[in-house]
Amino acid sequence: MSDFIQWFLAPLNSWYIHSGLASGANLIWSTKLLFWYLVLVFLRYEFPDFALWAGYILRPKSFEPESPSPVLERKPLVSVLIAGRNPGYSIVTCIRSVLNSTYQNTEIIFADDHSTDNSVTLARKFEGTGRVRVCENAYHSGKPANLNVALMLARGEFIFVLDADSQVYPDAIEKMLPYFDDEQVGGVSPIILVRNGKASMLTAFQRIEYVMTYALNQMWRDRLGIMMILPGMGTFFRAKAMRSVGGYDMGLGDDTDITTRLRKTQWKLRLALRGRISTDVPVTLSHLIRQRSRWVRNMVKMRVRKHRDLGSFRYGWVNALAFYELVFNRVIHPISIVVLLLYTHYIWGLNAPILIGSLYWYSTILLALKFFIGRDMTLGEPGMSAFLLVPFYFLYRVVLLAVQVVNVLRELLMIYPWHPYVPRRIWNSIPHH
Amino acid sequence: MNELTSRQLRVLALVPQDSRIEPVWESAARTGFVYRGAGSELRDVSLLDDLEELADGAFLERVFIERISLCPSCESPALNVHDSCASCTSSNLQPFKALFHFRCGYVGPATSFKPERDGLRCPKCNRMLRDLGTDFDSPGDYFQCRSCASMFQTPAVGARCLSCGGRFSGDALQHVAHRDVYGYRLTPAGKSALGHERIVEIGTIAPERLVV
Repeated sequence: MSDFIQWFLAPLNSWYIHSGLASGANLIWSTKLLFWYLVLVFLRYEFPDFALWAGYILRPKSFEPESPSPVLERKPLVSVLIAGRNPGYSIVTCIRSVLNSTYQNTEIIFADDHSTDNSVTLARKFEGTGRVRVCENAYHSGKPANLNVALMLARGEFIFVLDADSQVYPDAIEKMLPYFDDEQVGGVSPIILVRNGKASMLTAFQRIEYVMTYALNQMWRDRLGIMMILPGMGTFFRAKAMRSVGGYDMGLGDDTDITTRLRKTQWKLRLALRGRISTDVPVTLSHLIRQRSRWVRNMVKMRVRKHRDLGSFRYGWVNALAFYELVFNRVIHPISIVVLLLYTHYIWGLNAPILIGSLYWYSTILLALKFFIGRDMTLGEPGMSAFLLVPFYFLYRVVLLAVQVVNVLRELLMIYPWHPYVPRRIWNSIPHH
Repeated sequence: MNELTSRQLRVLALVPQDSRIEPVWESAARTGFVYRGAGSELRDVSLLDDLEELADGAFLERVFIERISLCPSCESPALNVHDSCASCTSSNLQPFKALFHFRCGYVGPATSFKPERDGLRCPKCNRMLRDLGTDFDSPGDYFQCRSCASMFQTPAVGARCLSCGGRFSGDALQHVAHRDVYGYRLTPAGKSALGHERIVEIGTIAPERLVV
């Protein structure tokens, strides 16, 4: 054990920094498979972020929509759809954030999924404003069904789907609308930031993750025109586009699903760099594991099952490449990185700590760089205090990697496929491909 | 009030000994209701003021019957309260039932499903709806405003005064004035007044005092 720690910390010691990192690099180079795999990982996970930032520095104007925006000037009605089950007081924060937006021509529709708490009473207090409508579902039917009810009631030219535990920044709607100047744009994603970053160590890690993994990822995808997921926590849609695909389908992964169907029908998807919303993330580990296992299973369901025809080049080569990239990212990569590490660990025996130590420092240094890129591009999120957590970030990632691998396998093997996201009687009548 | 006028005694005598005198709803009356002395000379006049005076003098006891809302501008009781659209306050609402198809998730008015010989066909996935509760259900009843096409589940409350024509939204109705309507029953003091006082002729009261 002391050997392990010594090797692990070796690169920190200036006398060892050369020998520590160099011997690690030598080892990696000697295992050609691992070396090339790490190159691939760099090209996918780090290079795009650096390229994005270079573009942001060189041509910042190209990241903003043209102004003045014709859509923003005619002030169309925006319907904000909120579906929730037992959101409690957060529904009040959510509704108030929209009512207090700088963009005022909004109507809010809260579709309550048969809550058993006082959410409906709380939401109804806003009905007097004339801009909020509350609609109670007669039975528990899941989020997608409630969003469809709200969609039926919506009158707006644009639809903003918002989670009850999220809230919009005051200027978010105003910053997102101009992207619809392009008639072909069907959906615009905001940047999602973490609201309860100070609630626990776990939420602090998620605060870093939401910027460095999700926000940066969405940004370069937007530049390449391969946005594949508009997040369910908050997304802007053109009502016409949403109705043309028949609203949400039932089942897990409603956000991925509607995004993919929009892509298949040739709608463009964009990211609004300055459209920001903030959301509550799981505070406890058990909640986080439950949330992530759901996300991972969504991914397998959508990519490997329901929408695997996206990889057939029938919907264009961009869609197909984006599809394979996602399958690599979400299914192949988590499994293969674990297998590769176990394999090299096995064949190297005593030298394994050098490998792990070098990989750790390599990834942490890249992470620190990305931290500042993220802060620069999201105007200061996450806060500098979160930087102290960067050296320990790998611990968080290891937990998530484990969750990812277990759930990818579980979903691929169809072990206990039901998920309470959708009630069982509805689950039983939807196709599961 | 120690001395009762003859008119007050006549009115007191109209109250049944073991029950009470109750209002008669009368839309033509200014207040919307009258008390009538059936079978007496007082049968065509409203006795509200007399009864109130007697109740103030403890000869009668008030029994709550109803609370009526009065028009905020003219205080008429002819306030017609109705469901209205939260967006445009129109009362031109059309109720409709929505259906939710489990398989594809489509939710829409029942009229958006295509009726066929053996049932309804879903406009999104083109399949037939089979069993209510098993493969489709109704999430609830809704309204559509025929004026502004807005759809909602709970309509707002609106009102129009049928007397002055004023129109009021739910907010204005929150602070609307009320009038409580009572029935009246004899108190022991009232009963003893009836037993000890002689009844004088109604003809001695000036006619204009008879109309409330």
